[in-house]
Amino acid sequence: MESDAKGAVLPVIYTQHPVAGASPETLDGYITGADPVTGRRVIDEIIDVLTTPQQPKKTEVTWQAAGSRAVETLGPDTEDNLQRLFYENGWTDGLPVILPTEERVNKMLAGTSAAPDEVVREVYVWDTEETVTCTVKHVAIIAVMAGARPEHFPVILAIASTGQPALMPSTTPFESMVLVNGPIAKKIGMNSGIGAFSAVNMANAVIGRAWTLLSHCWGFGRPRKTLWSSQGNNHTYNNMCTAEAEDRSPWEPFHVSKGLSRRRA
Amino acid sequence: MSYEIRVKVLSPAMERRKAGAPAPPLAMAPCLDSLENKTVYLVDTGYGGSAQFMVRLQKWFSENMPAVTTIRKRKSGHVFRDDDNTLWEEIKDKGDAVVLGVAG
Repeated sequence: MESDAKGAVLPVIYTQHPVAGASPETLDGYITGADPVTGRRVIDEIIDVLTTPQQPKKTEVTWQAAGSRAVETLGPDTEDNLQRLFYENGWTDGLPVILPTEERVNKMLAGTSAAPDEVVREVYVWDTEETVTCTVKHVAIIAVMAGARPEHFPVILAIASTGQPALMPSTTPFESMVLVNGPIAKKIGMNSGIGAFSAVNMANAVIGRAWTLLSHCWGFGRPRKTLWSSQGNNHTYNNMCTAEAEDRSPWEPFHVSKGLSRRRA
Repeated sequence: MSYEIRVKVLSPAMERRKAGAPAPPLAMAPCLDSLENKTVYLVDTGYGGSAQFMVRLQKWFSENMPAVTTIRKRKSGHVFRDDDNTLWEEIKDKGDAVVLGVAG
């Protein structure tokens, strides 16, 4: 079914942030102050837009290197150079990654029966107007980077299949959360008890981090390009990844509340 | 003797393609020669701070461009949905321009 909805391409003007909760004097300053993107006075831009013919803005060419559906090989190069390359390409959270050698990625792929070239999700990146095609092998590479083991991979694949980025741009410090439930949580050793949100458990750590790295590799992590978050949120390193303590919970498990059988992973 | 280890790794870079050509957009209304003696609607989306921003913007116009008539309105319904054409028909009828904001 085709939509018959149409809209105009509207000119967008940026003000300083946050707007919510700002005092009248602060808002006055936003109006007479500079657009943080263009440097021009906001009020001048408003008047200009209304009184001067506007040309549709060309979408900036993506800042992120395009790959292909077939995974490419990098190197050979030193550890230091590769770590720098991964960081400068916008593929990391700023911390060192486990370099995804072919051997490591192949071991990770043993954690799923899905074919490596199977498309997990096509993700749309609004700011660059791109569709990014993410395969099982790409997710395996990123799972290795996060430090995951093959037994963690099914959960990471499930997260990737949502196409939902962990990095949420907004005025307020949004963050996302991963709550894993079902038998797999216990099977892969996730922590849902004391210290559930603390930096003490490998499964919790690497699954949460993998989601962040996925978001970076999809293209959602570049400040002022695709990440417009006033001050960001430190939780986005791990996304509060934990598991549902089903055996101690007074409520029915989350997946059961959604109509799935209790034994369903 | 010193040596450095060099390794090959797999790239996480994915296929990226521009979205398909969008439906031809509606054209914007012809722009004004000036705002003098014109009516500009300041439409608040309902997002946090939008209303206050439009109050201050209206004040700026009243102090700096008094020949511009500004009318503040709130977009109907929820900030992200539920719009109807009532306000837009009013603006077509009585207004010359719109400033819509603020997103956050």
